Amino acid sequence: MNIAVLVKQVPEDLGAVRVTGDHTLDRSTANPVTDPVGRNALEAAVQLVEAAGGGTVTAITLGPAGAKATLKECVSVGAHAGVHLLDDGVAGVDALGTARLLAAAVRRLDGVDLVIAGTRSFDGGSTAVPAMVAELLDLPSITAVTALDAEDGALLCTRVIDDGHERVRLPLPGVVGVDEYVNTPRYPSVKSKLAANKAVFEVLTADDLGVVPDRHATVLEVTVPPAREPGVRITGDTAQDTADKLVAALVGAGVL
Amino acid sequence: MTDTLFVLIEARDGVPAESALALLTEARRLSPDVEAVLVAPELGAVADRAGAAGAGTVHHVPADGHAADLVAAALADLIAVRAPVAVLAAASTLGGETLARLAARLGTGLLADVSSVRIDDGVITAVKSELGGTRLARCRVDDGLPLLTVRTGGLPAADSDGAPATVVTAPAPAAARTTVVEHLPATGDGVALEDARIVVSGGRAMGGADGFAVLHELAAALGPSAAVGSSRPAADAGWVPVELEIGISGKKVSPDLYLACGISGASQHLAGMSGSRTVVAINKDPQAPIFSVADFGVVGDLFELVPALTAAIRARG
Repeated sequence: MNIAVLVKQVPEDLGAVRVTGDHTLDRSTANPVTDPVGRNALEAAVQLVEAAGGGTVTAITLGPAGAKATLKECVSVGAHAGVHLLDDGVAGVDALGTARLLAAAVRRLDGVDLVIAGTRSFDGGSTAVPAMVAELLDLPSITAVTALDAEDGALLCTRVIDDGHERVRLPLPGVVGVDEYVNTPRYPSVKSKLAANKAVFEVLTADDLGVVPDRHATVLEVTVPPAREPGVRITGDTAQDTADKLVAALVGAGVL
Repeated sequence: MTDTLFVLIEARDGVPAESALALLTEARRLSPDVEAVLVAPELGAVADRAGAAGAGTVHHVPADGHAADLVAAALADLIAVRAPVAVLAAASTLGGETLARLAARLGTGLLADVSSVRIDDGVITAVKSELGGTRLARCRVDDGLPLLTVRTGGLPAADSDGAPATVVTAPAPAAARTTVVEHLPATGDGVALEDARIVVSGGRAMGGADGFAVLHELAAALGPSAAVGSSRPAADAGWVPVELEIGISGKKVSPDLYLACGISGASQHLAGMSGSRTVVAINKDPQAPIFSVADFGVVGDLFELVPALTAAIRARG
């Protein structure tokens, strides 16, 4: 089974990201780390290839030069190859622009049976990219996946929906977005880390992929949410007294 | 000129999701011309309920509505005929996946997970929280059809006094490629976490699955619009089902009242509940960061305070 994994770097501390004058995000002041859920996506791919007894896992990342560290990390825990989409011209590209670049990179790979990504990246907060990639590749997709089992030519996925869970059969080729609950990522060994340091990755630009970066939405203004007024501490003589006072306060505030 | 808004309706066994109805009422506030789109085998009660909540028309596509690719294709066909000015869906798993696919299909802009929508002089803008709730961004789709997924938890309850909607049946685009093998309903408190007006949430201090029993009792005392949620550590430990996790990697809720019990208030958790109208924190540690976002704070043992609170609520009748 051949699997492409979409993984990215995220700021370790979201508060360290600056908003620039033109309302784009400047991540340069924040320490970049591999997206935690991306590590789950990679682990899922490695487990599926191991169970299938053959195949390749290719990690694809879009990001600045430093994102190479994430590809190395992927190789140290089981990826066979990495592709680095590196292009200053695509900084600040939106979800659809990102999906176009990633889909084009997947198309270049031979015989991809499955694309796996994290459903929701740590920093972006939107679940759009995996589904957009699926649409651009004309593949079925399942996101918010918390468990997956290989079947013959398909994957049985458990996904979270508003009113519980569903088990859904996804025929391959297809796209899966996983949650962090899907597995526990393995750690690299000293030996695998050293080997990964020597890995060489294909580097591609938007031009190489034949994608013209564009944006479909504009951020008009960015504000910091108003800080909440300092709250009221409720104390009482006993637990019941405290609870009664809390209920009275909530009634007084019109909440209950 | 008609400003038709499309609203995607999710339904199970002919019963529309509360989130969809609240979104219809919100859409009706934005424009008098709201058309609902339902992709489901059966119409059930959707025409009555969607009409009551504000839809003039329900476009019913009789097909399996679980597959985002099929729903996106059905929406694209209807958009070509009806030319709406925007498409709204709840920011659910299916709503998010469907509108993402539609954006890719149409090459247009998606504003995902927005908390509020405005139309000024025909221009649609929406506010979304960025970077785990540390920033609010007002956004606009530049050209093409604006697609928006809306966090419905913070919306007022749906209207229920409108006339039944006119039903127009539209052909199904294709068979779904994916198949639902099994639906495992959410256990417990009835209302979906995103739709709950009151969320009783527990963290690491609950100590185990048994500890959550006191929270379920409190939620039951607070009535049918209350639901139990959890922080990441409690869901990670398997004390509650993972779909109850609230936070950056889980669900985003914005209820009228959020009761955080034994939750320290890590930024990852705050990102999932910062839109709550009123926050109550109960924690042993007076320095816990959750108190900085709480309107009412109680320092103490939650295993004494929560049962006392349940008793106090029950005493009100």
